[in-house]
Amino acid sequence: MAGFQGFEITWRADVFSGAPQHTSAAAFGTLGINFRARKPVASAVAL
Amino acid sequence: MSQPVSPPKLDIDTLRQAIRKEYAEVANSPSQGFHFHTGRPLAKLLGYTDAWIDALPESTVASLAGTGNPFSLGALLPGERVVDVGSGAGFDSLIAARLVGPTGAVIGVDMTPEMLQKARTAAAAMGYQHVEFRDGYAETLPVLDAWADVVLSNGVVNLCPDKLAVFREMYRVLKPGGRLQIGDILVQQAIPDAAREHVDLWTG
Repeated sequence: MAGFQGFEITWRADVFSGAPQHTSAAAFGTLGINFRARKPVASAVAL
Repeated sequence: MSQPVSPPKLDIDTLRQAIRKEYAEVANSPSQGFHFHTGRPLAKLLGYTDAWIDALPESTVASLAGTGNPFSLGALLPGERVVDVGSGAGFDSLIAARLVGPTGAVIGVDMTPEMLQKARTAAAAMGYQHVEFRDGYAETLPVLDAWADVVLSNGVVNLCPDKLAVFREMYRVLKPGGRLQIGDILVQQAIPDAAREHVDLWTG
């Protein structure tokens, strides 16, 4: 992913259910997520 | 995460215009009801602490429209530099400004004028001089190379057709060893190409 390392999804949850307006999120199984990654210490150029 | 990386075939200006219109409404009329949750109930759902929420202007809290909680991914330290990609009304940028303190710095980047105005007003109301909100796109961040210790974003990458360009920009502005802490969305079912090219589905 563009040169990042240590990609990790740490949390996922349904954050769209019950929204005031109709959403297409459920049709595609859409979840809210948190994820993190790190730019390598020794790398300076994106792949 | 198996969706194609190549951007969909849609007009980027048309999409950005639609997104600006949607989020101008989130800035100006946050209680009108959207296809996503907003405000304090959303902040609680995403795990933000009451102390952080209560310290913000209510108008900033009301226009929160994120999908995760970047602060759950790692602590921000005093003195650190932070870029908030798609900073909206400033919710995450202002929390970051509190955490890094006056020896740190925060740059929020957003493309919706109404959100930028709301964020700047909130920062002034809080007396923060170490947070700045800049007009710009996630694909071409108005930030110097290797400036940031941390890049945050919350519910924005999914609105950008060229996600690889966004991550390349995040990579560029991070220092070596810098951290990416993002709340966004995960789509578990394949989206047909025709749907990916439908602007209304990007905003709703």
